[in-house]
Amino acid sequence: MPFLLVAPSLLLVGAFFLFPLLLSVQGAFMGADGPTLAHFRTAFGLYRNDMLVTLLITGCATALIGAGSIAIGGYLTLGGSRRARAVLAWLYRWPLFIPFIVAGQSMRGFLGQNGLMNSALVGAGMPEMWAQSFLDWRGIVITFVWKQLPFATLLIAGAMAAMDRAQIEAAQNLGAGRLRVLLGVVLPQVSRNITVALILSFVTMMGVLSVPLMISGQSPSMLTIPMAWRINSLGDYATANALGVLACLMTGMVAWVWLRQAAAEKAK
Amino acid sequence: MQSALTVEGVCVDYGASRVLRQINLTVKKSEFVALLGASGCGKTTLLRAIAGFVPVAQGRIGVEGRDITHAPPEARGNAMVFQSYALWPHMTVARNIGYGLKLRGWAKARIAARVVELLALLRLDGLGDRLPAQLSGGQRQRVALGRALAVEPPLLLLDEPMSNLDARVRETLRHELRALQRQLGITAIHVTHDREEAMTLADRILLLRDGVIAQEGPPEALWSRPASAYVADFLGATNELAVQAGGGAVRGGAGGAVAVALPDGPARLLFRPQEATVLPVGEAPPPGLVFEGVARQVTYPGGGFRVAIETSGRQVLADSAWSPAEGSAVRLLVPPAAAHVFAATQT
Repeated sequence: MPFLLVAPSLLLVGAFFLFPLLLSVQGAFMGADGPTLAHFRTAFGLYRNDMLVTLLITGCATALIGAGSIAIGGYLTLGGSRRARAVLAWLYRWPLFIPFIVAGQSMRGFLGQNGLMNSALVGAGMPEMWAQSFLDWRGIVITFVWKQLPFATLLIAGAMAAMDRAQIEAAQNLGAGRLRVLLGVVLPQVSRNITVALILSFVTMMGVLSVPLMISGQSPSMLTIPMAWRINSLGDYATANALGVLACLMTGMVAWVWLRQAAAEKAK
Repeated sequence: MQSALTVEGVCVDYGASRVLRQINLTVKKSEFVALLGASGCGKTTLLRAIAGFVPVAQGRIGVEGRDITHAPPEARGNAMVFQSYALWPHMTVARNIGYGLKLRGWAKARIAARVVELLALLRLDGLGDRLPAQLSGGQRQRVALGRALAVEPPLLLLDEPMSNLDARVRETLRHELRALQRQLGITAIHVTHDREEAMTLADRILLLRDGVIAQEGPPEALWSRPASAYVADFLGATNELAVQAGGGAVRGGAGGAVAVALPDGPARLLFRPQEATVLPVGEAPPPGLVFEGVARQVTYPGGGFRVAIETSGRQVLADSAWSPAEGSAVRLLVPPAAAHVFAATQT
């Protein structure tokens, strides 16, 4: 009986998720004359640098998102000025509602050689010769951070707010300043939420095509660009599938770190 | 001698409403003061103002002569024990207790020695490596106490530390806390809504009502000479009868008189069930106010009987050594020392 109840959802997951996934994984290993690793050789040969750039960009962005969301969450939880907290709480969520493609588009106008950022900086007194375009891997990192930071902050600040306030007060009461409270009392208790927020951000950013396309499509770029190129322009599904498997392996690595950490915590 | 804590004319506001009004309090070194009151009376707010978690709108707070009215909580040096224990779940018992010392820059070995000392003092030997989740409620509260005592604070603040514990554990911990406070000479301020807890622990009780001090004094004084009907009621005198004051005394419905310093007119008599007595009709009563009534209900809570008596249209409770038949006529005696009389106009 219980199986009957889960059957519709199992069927849905199987038909629309597992089956296509397995099909494309299989496609990555199938040649004209049976199983082969040729597609992976092609993928590695052509796009080794794109893989490294992908890891660099997502890694950098994830680290910055982590630092930023902890700082925002920390201020929302421990900040002294009630007004500043209210403004920050209201402000930080906005990018959540803006699609990646729109974020990429507006960042293109903002970060370019003659973009709003440089105009503002020059207007504020920066020598004009320092103005440079950020429309390369740095632009992608900045856009990712801008777009994903609210999401991570939402999870992390939420976990911080759910803590027993008395635990924070107990530490302050014994003489701990704000930074010590954050590092010694708050962060250790929300570390799991931080990990979840960062892994989800990492996996999301790995799969974004619009932002690298908008900001900097020149090679080497993120893996999503050659994947789209192989399919749309060359009809080469096999190499695209191989690249997909490789991208999954990268995210899988991160998920594995998380699972190991969770298991270690459970064992305690 | 310098006082450990002085609170002068302190007012606290929550938004537009004033929750503490002109509170004055001086606590001597090694004194144990209880802030007693119903919920919402401002007792916890006063404690949190002393700890620095609530801003003071007016007045001054000083600890050992140092003005701390506007100092941040971390610069005040006092230590607080919270109702929810507020132990850090990711730290062992030893790390919880040693945290304040670590902040004060003590060396590891010295912290470890002090933690062992405190574990022994609080009967927590061998539990240093446990996590808070692995302890019972009573043990957790002792760890929280140890964490506060470790830094030898000039002032120990206790915010209803026992209200989450079951009655038996609470009783044991109450006596332990009192013994510890005497032994170490700690100055402590204890917030509670539990009258018995305040009476057993404190040298002095401050009874708060709606943000002002209703009465202040040693437990015996509040118990035997409540300043108002509110205080009497809060301290267990839950029985009330309407009486008439005249010629400097009030009289019982069936005889007896007690001298009062009240103007002539209607008055309220308040008394505790355990201090009143039930007499058979016809027996010559000892001194005190006597009322005729009917025994409506007799229960046996243990040790003696508790009788619900209907008299002058009201029902009151009184303890009795004997069991009157339900529905029978009895007399209620309120001895002079048990009779707390207030003008009817007073609230």
